[in-house]
Amino acid sequence: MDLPSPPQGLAEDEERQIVDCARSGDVQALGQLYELYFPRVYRYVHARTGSVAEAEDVTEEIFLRMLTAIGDFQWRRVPFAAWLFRIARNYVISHVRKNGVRRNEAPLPEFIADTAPDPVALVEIKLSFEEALQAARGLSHAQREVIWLRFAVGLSVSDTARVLGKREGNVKVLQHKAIANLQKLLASAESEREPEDKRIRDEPAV
Amino acid sequence: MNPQFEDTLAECLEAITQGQRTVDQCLALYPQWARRLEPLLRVAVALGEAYVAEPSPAHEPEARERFLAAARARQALALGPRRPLLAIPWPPRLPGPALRPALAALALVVLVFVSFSSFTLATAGDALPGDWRYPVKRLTERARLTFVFGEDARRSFRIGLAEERLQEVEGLVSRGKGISEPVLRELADNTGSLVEQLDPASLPQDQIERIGELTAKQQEVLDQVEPLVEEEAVDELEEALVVSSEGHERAVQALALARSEEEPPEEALALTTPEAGTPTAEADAGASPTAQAEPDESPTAEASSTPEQDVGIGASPTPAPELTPVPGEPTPEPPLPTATPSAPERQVVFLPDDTAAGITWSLMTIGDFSLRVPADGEGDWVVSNLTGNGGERVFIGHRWSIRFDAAVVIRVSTGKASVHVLVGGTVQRVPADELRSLVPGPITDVIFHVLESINAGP
Repeated sequence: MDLPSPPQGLAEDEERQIVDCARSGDVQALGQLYELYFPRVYRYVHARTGSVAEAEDVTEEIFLRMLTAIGDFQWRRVPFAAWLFRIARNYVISHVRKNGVRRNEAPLPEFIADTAPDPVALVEIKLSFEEALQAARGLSHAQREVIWLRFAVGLSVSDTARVLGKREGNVKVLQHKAIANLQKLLASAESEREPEDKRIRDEPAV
Repeated sequence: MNPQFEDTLAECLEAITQGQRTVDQCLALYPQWARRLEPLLRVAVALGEAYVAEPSPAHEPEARERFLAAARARQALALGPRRPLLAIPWPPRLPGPALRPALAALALVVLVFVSFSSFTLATAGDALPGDWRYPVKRLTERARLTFVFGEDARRSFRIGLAEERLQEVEGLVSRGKGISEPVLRELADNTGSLVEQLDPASLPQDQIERIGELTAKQQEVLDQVEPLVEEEAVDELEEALVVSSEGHERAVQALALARSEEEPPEEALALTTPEAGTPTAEADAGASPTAQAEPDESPTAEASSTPEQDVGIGASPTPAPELTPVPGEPTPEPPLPTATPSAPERQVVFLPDDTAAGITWSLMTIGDFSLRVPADGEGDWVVSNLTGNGGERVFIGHRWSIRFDAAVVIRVSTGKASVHVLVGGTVQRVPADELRSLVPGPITDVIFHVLESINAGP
């Protein structure tokens, strides 16, 4: 069981070449960038908003903004991925401020009980998207930002730090705290479910 | 938070994310942290899997087509004829007689503006964030920095700016004003950039000391500001505290390292062990702690001759403390010292049977040198390897709340040690026999266990 790898696709110099062409307005290069980054940007927006429809609209708008701004992109400041996700982050924040987050109509399900004998070990833990969304609500804003960029997008610690304007050391601390908090939330949800499960098991079958 | 563990966790997650390693491979690579790492890595993996999402099948091609259409339109615009944005006549024509009164009025407005600006500049120095003069203050600071020349002077100026940011927070607190996100971010950023430059090789001692004092004061102030921190700035407060705490840790390590290096006379060194200074493979390999620790050579007896010195003042510049994580490669048996001191091999082996002073222990060996250090799981204890002019040192510090209250620095080449404690807000070097009166018993017990184990072998 591994983390889903981000689309690696291109070597650094290949990406550089495409970005340079895209900066000069080359449509084919822009299309390549779109294909390369669309899944990651979509996943990021989806993780933040929790809505497929919203993620589709917002992702499209982010790429249009990228189109407008790419002429000003400069390599010496940040890598392209960090630059693009700065645009994405800024746009999602402004979108959420203007529109609020469309909450899911149905209440989110409780955490699914882990079938492993020791809940702390979490050896075979499986999370649905809704569970991940709910768990993220228990984190601080900075921790959530790190989690989205690191695990929904797959950005490196270094690029995450650049997107968020933080130092790498801080990102590592926030990452650690976020995962540790999630672990506690999962264990706590599990322990809350245990008595209920036991009661169901103990009740005589009708 | 343990920086070594943070780094290891981050490295494992990076490797897993890139598909270079599995969780199990990471656990096998870091057996000493496997118990702490495993649940965190598994949660992270589950989270990454949960976030996998695809748009609806119909959306992606349509959105792509719209994007490409926009790109084509942009390209067409870019290739179209270009016209100058502004056509400015040159030379400019002077206004006719009818416009001269208007010109005079304009000159008066400029004069009033300049006078007002001078007043603003003169009084902006004590402005606080939120004050209308505050942007002027910041602009003035930047302008002054432009005219500060020389690396030392510029660094000193920047330390002054960080001190000013802290005073502003104190000013806001004293007036009961809210602490906003930009204020805390600014504080953390200024401090962070100073800490990154914390390099005793090029940093004067007084600047290290100022950074140490600044970060200590920051923690005191930030601990008290929480009720005034605006809701959306809570994360920034936490970040500022983390930056201050890490900065203070590095400053203390740098000062302790510098102080321990400027003690050339034998009698000035706080503590030694019987094998100190002459570690040999033969002696270490067969030695036992009890056989080497003679009563008349106990750390307490030797330390009584050490004069008390302030770690933070007056030490000569020394290279930066290189905070090298201690890799704990899996080793079934405690390693024997190597016979090549020029290329020392560093190993850390967990010692399940050693529960001295109520904590768990590991044996650290660096070539012929060995000592016992608090095990990785002992979160209150920080173990770092520092490199300075005098060669490698081992720093073992006890973290009390958000700062160190006791630390011991051991020189690997000689096995000699110095003890440092926080007294009255500053880190001071003390003789070991004063340690018990300054810090609680269990901490002192741990430090003595470390000292007694130096070059005593497994």
